[in-house]
Amino acid sequence: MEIILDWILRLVLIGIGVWAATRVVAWIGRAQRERRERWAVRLGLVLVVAGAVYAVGHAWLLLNRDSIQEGRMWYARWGDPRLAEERRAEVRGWILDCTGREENALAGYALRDGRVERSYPLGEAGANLIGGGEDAGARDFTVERLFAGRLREPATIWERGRLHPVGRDMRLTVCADGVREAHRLLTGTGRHGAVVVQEVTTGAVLAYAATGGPEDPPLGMRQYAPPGSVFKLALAGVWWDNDLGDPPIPCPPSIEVGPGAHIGNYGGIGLGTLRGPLDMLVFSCNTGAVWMAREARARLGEEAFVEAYRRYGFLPYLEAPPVGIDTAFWSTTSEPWRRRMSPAPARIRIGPGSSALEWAQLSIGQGPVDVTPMHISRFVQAIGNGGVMRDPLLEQEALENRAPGSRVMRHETAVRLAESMRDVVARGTARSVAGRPAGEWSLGGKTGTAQIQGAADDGWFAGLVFDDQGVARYTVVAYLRGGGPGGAAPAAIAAGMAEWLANREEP
Amino acid sequence: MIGRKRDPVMEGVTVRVRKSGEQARGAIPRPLLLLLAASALFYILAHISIVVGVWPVHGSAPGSEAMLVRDGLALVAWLALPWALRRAGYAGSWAIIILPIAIFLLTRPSLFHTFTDPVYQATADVRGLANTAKAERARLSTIERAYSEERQVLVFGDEEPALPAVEELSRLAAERERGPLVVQMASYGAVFLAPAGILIGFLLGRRRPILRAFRQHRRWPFLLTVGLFLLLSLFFVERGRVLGTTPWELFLPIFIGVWAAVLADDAYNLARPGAAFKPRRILNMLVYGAVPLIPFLLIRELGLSVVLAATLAVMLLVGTRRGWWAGLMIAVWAVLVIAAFQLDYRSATRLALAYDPYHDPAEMSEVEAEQWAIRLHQFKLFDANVLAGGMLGEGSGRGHPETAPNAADDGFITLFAAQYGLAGAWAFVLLYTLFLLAMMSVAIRERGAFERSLVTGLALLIAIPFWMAVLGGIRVIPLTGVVSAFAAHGGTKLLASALSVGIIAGISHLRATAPAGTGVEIDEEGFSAEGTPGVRIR
Repeated sequence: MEIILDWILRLVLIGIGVWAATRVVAWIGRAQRERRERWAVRLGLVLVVAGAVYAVGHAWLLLNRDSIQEGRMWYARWGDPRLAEERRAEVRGWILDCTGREENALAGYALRDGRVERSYPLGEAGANLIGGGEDAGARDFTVERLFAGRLREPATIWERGRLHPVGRDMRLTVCADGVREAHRLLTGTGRHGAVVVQEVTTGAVLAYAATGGPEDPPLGMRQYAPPGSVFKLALAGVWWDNDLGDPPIPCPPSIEVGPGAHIGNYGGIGLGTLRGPLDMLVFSCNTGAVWMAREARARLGEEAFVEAYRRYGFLPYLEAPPVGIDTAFWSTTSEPWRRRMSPAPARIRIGPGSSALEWAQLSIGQGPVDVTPMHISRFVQAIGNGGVMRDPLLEQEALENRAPGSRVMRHETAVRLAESMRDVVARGTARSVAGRPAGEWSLGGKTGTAQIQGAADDGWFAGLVFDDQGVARYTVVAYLRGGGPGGAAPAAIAAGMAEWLANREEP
Repeated sequence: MIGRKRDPVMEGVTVRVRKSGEQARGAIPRPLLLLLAASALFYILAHISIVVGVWPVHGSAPGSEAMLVRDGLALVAWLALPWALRRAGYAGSWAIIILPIAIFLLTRPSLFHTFTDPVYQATADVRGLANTAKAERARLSTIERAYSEERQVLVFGDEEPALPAVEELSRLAAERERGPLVVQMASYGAVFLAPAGILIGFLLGRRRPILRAFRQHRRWPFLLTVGLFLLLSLFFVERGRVLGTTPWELFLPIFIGVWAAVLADDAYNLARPGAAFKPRRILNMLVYGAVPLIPFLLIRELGLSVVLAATLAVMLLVGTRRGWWAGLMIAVWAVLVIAAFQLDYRSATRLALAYDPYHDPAEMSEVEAEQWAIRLHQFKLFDANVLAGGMLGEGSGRGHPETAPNAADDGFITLFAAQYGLAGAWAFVLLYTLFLLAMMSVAIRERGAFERSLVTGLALLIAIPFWMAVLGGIRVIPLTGVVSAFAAHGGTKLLASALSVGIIAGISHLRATAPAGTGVEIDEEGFSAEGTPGVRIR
């Protein structure tokens, strides 16, 4: 009723204004025609001009809305009762999880000490993605903050006329219990890191947890790390995509990569001759990877690598490294999210000018290659999805209107990579988690141990979770800063997440 | 009507004859009746919207129900005014009667919303608490209204909290300064005393002997008013108020009347530069034109002193019909403005707040930034009101404009803009402009020098504060603290303006009922129209 009432009031007022305008115009016309009391008439005309000045002045304020709001915010810390009332009294929409059930809401309202306040049931687990947690007000890399406009939009047309309209709910693809589990596993290691789970066919993010304080950019999205041996998946992808076959691959303990420079295997062991790229991946043989990279460069040229890596989502460069943000990364309906949460481009310095040493380093994910856990997850998603990469997404709305993916590698290549990943867990560097999860579902993946000068090795596990039909369903990427090797703690996190995925009740 | 078209070549005698039988003499024209009906409808619906949509959410201040009853009585009083004037045989311009009623009816609901808000009148020491209670109530009531039962269980659990009671909010709302009962009643009842003010003004203004006596004996009302003003300003003023009221507005029409008499008696000489600047004449002008400004300056009512000075100056221009007065006044005005902004820190600050309010605090010291934040506080909230309203406004009682200090006074236009947007605010400004033009029309048609100057002065007494308040509210000019008659809060302003309108109506009536050859024709919409009955030599 209120919205109808308000529209009647508006229309009455505007109608009166239109009538008044016609009478003012008539007055001007009449005053022009007459020749008496010219100063009084001029005075009347000044009043009319003042009316026009008012309209221009009012419109000017509206046109400068952004700069005025910015100025107002500068002074908000000295008190802004309007802002305080709007914030304290507002009823934003709820943030629902993948199930869409209110009892699983990621953000809603709850009674606390007799007051109704915004609540974040995930607590610290969701602080780096949803909001809330310690120093919640300072966190601006969150759904709560970046989708604030959406959450404040009146839920229905009838709410629009309300004094305090109830905001519109939004549903995410993220699952509350997945985030909780990821955070539990992550914090259990005592290290900084991130865990990402994506649905393979859609790119939807099912779980995300990361450590980091309120002021830190999200570790899983905005902070670079070298990928280590996880990047061997990309090398193998180039190899198989270009039909280089499965030749025997030497795996000596160490290989010379330049004058006086050597690259060795983890633990300094040699594995003799491997049966093609599959075993290189399974045992994560560094020297074998260097051999493959050299061989492929000689047979394919650098351009094949540049093109392939570009398709895989790693931006090649030779001169100045690309900076800024990759605004095309997310499939999202929110501009603030796109601006704030898009990662810097994953980048790799590679090309005809790459030295032999750099070339060798790149083959094992060291040297000038910078990625984020989200980039690695997107790449693994393409492998699991038969070579078709999808933009990651977080909103149910984006899921329903998602764009078609793009093929980044041949289907056969993707299948071979996925099979190799299963073997890595079954008999390779991640066999510590072989047999997990128990039952029909299984885990595959690639471990990575990235060496950082002067610091402990970073640990990676980039995995795929296969269902009881052997179909890759989800990616699981675990990254631990200083938490290598990848086959230990990161693989254990991935296994834990695989167990959650296998046992969860799908919405 | 005969003789509407004038031969472009032939100059000579134009004969105009009033239509007969189309509209009874003194009847309210239909467009104005429609305007009155639409405004009354608006008034009623806007009040309903606030009572139904705002009170349950925010709660209401103590005495809100009584204010609702008072506004109901005010509606009756204002609607009864045209009827009473009709009974009194009013034959003047109906536009100057109906338009202020419409303005009052369109703007009063915004003030009703503001003054029934539980926080707006709270004093600083409890405002924080009151704000918190209001916000909690708003959130709780919104959840109870909009959430499903299942969701409410998730929010509240087993224990559903009670809404912060209106009584509690009432306790937090502070008592305002109050004077004696009579003053309280006058202040409280201004909204329905004002129609009576118009009626009284009309009854005074339509009697030529009264006008003549005032003109002839102007010295006495002048001395009495100045004396009383000085007495009050020197001994009874506390923070710009006398017994909690600001009675200065009531003195202004008297000063205007006296000045009109001075001009009328000496217009011929004042129109000639050689005669205008004779010492005796200058002394006369200083006594009647400058002395009234002194008490205003004593009580630092800078806004009203500007209003009075500008009104007197423009009356001089209109009364003498000489452009060189305009040039002279503009030059003096420019010098005074430049001097004020150069020498007076308060004026310079107001100027900066109008045109460059948002200095980056990062470029200031913490102390400077805090001091500027204090000065900017009201202005940033006025700006926020305008922005909240956008093009069409948030609706009656919506948009949170009551969070701005003095939203009902200095910032009235921003209060209105928050609720009705640019479209509504401009509609209001156009209606007000039309009202001012209707009054100027009476001055334009008036033949008597005293009456013409008086009408011009009284009209400007309403026009100048209106434009100062409206343009100041949106930062086109510096804000001065004066308020708009019939629209913004201000009991004495409303009463003084009602009296002024009544006097103008009386003069309009006199002219309309004057013997043939000196009358004025009222057009079909109630404005003073072109042409007069009888013969005019061009």
